[in-house]
Amino acid sequence: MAPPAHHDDVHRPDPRPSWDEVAERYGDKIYNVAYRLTGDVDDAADLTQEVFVRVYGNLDRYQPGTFDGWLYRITKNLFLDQVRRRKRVRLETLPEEEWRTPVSEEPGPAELVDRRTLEANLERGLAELSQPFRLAVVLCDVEGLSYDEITEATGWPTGTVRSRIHRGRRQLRDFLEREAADRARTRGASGDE
Amino acid sequence: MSDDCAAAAPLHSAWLDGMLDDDGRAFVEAHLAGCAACRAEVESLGRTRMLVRNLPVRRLPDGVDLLPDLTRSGAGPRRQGPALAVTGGRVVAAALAVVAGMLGGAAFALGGGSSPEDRLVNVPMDLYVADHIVHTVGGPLSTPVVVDGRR
Repeated sequence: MAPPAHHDDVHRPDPRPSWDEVAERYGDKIYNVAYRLTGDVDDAADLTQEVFVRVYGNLDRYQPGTFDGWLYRITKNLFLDQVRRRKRVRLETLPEEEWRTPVSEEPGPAELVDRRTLEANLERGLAELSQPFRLAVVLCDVEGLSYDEITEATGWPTGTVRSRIHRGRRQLRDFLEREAADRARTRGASGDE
Repeated sequence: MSDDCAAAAPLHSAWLDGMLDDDGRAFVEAHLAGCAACRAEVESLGRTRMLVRNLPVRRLPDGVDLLPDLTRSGAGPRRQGPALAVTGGRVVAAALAVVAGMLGGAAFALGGGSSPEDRLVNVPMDLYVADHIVHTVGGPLSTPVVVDGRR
């Protein structure tokens, strides 16, 4: 049996994949999306499990088409269910001591700290976006989906997809700029002392 | 902000992503050529996009079971379909192997065979079948029935 189509060739109908193929090919992929949507390791693992349980239960009903789109649609629906169920999404990012501790001497502790700081800021910025904007930015910029693929995954009209990606990016950009300004102010204040 | 800026601003991300039609692209590019503020805006959006694109990929942590407690929760395919044909095939093969093993074991136990040579061959069929079951469906085969005190 041929493997399911990757989202690069999303318009080519693909056959129904076996469970082993689904788990192997999509485990990390769905977890990464789930992590960027929830911003939390445990919530991401929970969401990933829910997605795969749902896929397992419905695999025989999957109609050959765009398997990735089907998976993203399930992920999106379950993510929104999870948010509704919990009434909140955890906003906190990695604990400070975790991201401040370099995990390797390469490419250098200072650079790693910078990277971790940037990642932590991005995670906080993503978490501050409202759910539709976060979903749009994650699917477009983390997963690299085209606007058509996002339309298929979310059911939003194309104009809404375009608008949400744009507004999400703008809000994220504004958040990062505010963070940078705050850091500069803090450094300036400590330098004045 | 000029009217042109107001018209071009919502298209900045789509322009960056190459998702505008020819008219939209021409309009945005003509505007950007003469508007430093919009160029700066597009540049900062592009930088943000690049940062998100370069976020490290998170891998599924070890120990996360993609199908937890399925037997208890009752989740599972609503009906056996071609998607699970491999698993179904294994079950059928294993069942056939069990039957073959049982028949073989019984035949040897009874000393059956069409010639004396057949009876001289002592195949540990139960071991082979058990090994087969272990490697296909994870379950051992019970010892072939003992008939008249002989295997």
